[in-house]
Amino acid sequence: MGALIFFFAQLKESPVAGVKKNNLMFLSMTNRGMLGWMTAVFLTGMYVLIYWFPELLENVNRIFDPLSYTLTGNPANQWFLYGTLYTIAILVMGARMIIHNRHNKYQIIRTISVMFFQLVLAYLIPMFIVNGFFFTYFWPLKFEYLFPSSYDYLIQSGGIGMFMFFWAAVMSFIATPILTYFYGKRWYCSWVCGCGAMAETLGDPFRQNSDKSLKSWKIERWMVHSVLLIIIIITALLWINSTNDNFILKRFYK
Amino acid sequence: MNIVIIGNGITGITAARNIRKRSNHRITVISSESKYFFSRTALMYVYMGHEKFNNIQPYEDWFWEKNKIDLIQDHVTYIDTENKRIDLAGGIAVIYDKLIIAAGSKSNKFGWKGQDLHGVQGLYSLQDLELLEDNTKNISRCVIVGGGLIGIELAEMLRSRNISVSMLVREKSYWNSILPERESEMINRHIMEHHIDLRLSCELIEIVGGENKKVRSVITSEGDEIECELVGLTAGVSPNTNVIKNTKIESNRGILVNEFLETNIADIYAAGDCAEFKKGFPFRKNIEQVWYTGRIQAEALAQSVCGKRTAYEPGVWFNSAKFFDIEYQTYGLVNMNIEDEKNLYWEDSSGRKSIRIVYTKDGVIGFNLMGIRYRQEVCIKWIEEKRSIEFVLQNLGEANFDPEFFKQHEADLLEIFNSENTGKKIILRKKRGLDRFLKQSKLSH
Repeated sequence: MGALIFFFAQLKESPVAGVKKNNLMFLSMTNRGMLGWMTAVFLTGMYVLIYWFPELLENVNRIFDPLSYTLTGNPANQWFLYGTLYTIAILVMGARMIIHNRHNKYQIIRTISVMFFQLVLAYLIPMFIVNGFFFTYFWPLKFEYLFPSSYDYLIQSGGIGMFMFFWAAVMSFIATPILTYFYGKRWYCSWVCGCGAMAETLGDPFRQNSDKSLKSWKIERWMVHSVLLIIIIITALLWINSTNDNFILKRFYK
Repeated sequence: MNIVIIGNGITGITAARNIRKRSNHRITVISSESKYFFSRTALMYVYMGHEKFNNIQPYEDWFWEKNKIDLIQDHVTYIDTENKRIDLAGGIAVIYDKLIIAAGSKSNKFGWKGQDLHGVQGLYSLQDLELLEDNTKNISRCVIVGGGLIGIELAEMLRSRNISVSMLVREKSYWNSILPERESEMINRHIMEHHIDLRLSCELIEIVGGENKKVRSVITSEGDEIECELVGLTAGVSPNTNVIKNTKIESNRGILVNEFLETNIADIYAAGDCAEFKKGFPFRKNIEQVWYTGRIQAEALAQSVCGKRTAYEPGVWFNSAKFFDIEYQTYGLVNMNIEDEKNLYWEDSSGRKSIRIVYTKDGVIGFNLMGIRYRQEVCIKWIEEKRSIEFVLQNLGEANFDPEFFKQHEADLLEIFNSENTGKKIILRKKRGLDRFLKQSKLSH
């Protein structure tokens, strides 16, 4: 709330709409200063706690119990906490993004889109309609969605499950290539995806800190392509394996 | 062959890169301003905190060694054209077979009283920017003299640090030697919207000094005295001809060259801001002090230096800039008072966007856009092909290059044309959209 009031106050300060990035490089927060590093350590620490020491977050979880009971009927756990904070960050910083770019209709619509997809399709629906299924994440990003085990699970859970599996398959192999051919990766990364939503809202005041050297671009290309390759191989292996009575992976089982 | 380039701005560096693409000649670039090439037009964003200096260097530091372009950061003191030798302030001398002078500009000072006081400066070089940092520490008032592109940039820079700005403009409206009246008025309004004390038809008479030879105030032609701690002199730039002092290289205001960018001395060329064409091109100035023309000149020059004598062909004029929040693009002949020219002009009710098309009975000759983006290649092609105003209006959607979802105003312009020309009923054939996009991507693949 405090942040929102602050952003609206900025409206008064710079009444003429337009790209305003003044002083970003002078601020400790946005120019890798002390505040920036403290924030980085805090955020990384959050992930460490959530993944490896969730018991330390028990007290924080309790704060979110009322909300969790309303949405899911269960007490809050670390994943509920994470999802809630993640969504709040996107909504609050999304509001900031809209205020900053109020001269630009494209940015306004796009920001509303990522806020909507995060709140509804990546938070509310998985929370209290279809447990844990994200309509907006596809293979290879969510590679387990097209694993044989998910197929079995979804098909067995009836009509809705079948729909979800085919949705995942169609989006991965038909919709994504077509949309990407026409619009580039932005249709997904900055309109739909929760990761992109984070980058385009909370990440916006920090984007100037990205490494633009040729070297980092080379590393990035090697990384994304090798991850894609690994996912393709794993998925293919699992399918070959499942249709051949554990032919390939048998020896790894004990 | 030994090729030496004096100046590492857009002209010098474009020449170096294009010579390297075409040859294995030894290339040496000398600059006293900075070791590495940087984007001069982005200097303002360093001051405003959008970028750091290393962010406005388009090439990483390893680029020059990898491409075997030697860089020397030093000041040229003398060019010995007889022995083909350049003396540097650092004490060393450099031998050349061919020499390119691309030394850029320097800020105009018109002999105003007090122009050398502390706190009086221009804005052109990296050193000027560093000086500005020093000069604007803990100050609150500034006067800018001159209403051009650099003046308005300086105003925006100072406003980003909450320094109040008075802007003295000699003309009766901002930059009206270039901008047509309506667009110029638009920028007047926009300048004032940014809380700048804009004084039109107002000249600098004198800069008054205080203690320690520091600027204290300026006196204007209207008799006002404006107190200030900084005076920005932005009344244009002129060619930097310091390097050819005491040589036989001919110069007028700039270093004189022909259309091949050759000076009067064999194997010595000049290009970019510092060059002056002996015989100008139609509708063009003899001295072109624009980023784009420097680049185009350098590309032609690189061919000549590598053995294929190539004349500079200016092509259809184009330029772009930004006045605070209003982007500006221009193509072809605008505000030139061409015989029988007609102007079709539309302005948004917000007063921040406009489209102007200039045409004669022989076809369209110019475009001027404020706050709206048009595709350069489309506008230039229409001008080159001398397309009729009717054709251009029908297909105007093809030129629109605003982001998706932006309101398109081409139909408004057509409506004005139809109402001004009774009997005409031009219909907008192409709105921009997916089909245009599809065709384009087919072409590019």
